[in-house]
Amino acid sequence: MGLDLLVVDDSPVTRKMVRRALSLCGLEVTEVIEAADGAEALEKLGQRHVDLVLADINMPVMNGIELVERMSRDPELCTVPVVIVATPMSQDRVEFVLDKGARAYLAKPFRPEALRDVVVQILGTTGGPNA
Amino acid sequence: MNLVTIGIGGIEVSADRGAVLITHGLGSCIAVIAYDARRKIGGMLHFQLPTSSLSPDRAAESPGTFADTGIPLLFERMYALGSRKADIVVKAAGGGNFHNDNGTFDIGRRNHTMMRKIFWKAQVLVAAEDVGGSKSRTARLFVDTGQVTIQSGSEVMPL
Amino acid sequence: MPEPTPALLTDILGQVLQESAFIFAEPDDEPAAWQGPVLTARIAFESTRGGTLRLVTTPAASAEIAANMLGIDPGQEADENGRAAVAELLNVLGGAFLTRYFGTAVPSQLGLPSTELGDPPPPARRRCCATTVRLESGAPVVMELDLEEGR
Repeated sequence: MGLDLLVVDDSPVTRKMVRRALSLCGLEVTEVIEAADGAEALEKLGQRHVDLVLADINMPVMNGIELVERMSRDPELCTVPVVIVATPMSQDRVEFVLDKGARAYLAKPFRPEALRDVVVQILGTTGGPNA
Repeated sequence: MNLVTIGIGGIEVSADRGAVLITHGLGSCIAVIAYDARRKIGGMLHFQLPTSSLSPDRAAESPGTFADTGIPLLFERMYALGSRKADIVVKAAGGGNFHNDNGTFDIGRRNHTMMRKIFWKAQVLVAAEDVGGSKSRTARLFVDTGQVTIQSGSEVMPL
Repeated sequence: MPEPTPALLTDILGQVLQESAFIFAEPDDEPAAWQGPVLTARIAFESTRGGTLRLVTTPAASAEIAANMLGIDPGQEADENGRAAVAELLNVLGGAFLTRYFGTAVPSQLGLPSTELGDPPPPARRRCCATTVRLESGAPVVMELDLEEGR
């Protein structure tokens, strides 16, 4: 079974870059859904299941930290892993985000193979038929 | 064993299962290693400079000297032996930092960045790479198995 | 802590352009001579000192940056994504500046980037420091930093 992924970033350019990286990085991806902020992400997560969320932190309306907090408190969503894909930040902020429930942090600009590695590390699969 | 040596600016592809493609003395140059496991076809490019705009005449004579002319040609040569893009796995080695006067814009980094730009645009993943630093490297591709090794001094590591 | 220098901005801008957009930017000592409207992106930050970073460039250069970031040929899609590409570039530059200048041991926070297409900035605008680099096409990109007085 291929993977269904949600990309949450207020930058349309970043969403396109993540899409491109996912398309070439060797993961079997069935669908990539997009949201421009945390609130839109929660709305989409309420409508359908995804295997993993890739989320920015600095976003209008609802930032990535609040998204992670809300997902952690939601019995339906607390098992969906979140990877933070954000600009370089201080060590305490990285730890803060991980404490809130994010599973990993990937600094922008990221390489496709780094994205693949973090997804495989968390999900234990590439999503391919032999996975 | 059929040893095929690739010099600076050279491109070689082979479907000979006894072949080992090898290139020596990778400093700021980069070896791009392509392998199609399905058909057991291997290819190697040893490029020296990032862009053919630096010397169009030289690019016409020796397209493998430059990343932007050499990498597409490596893929064309792989296709000519029956390979397909979706089956080609790419690895890279070299791009060392040997003449870094100002700490910012050295040729090895430029080579590496140009290579990644080309593959990003072509939607090709660099499956593994051993780049940067200040060591000289020798890259080998064993066509039968697809194994790639990188040698620095007496140390040989799989890539 | 020493004051930030233009050389620091040049280094960060060069590195981020290379890593985010595969662009080799060359430092330019001449101030940019703007002809026509320019795109200005701004982002505020807070750390042990607050401030603002600005990125100023031409619409054509922003499309060049977008094409490189997205891995596409120049054209309509690149033109349409120019503003967003420069905003995202500044976002990454902001993070790189905060971690390079203030370090990773102190809490720092970035705001949200905004962009505006308008007249070129006056040449004598007061600012902490600035750098100009040129993209491969020759188009200038100016990075400016306003930093509050030390606390």
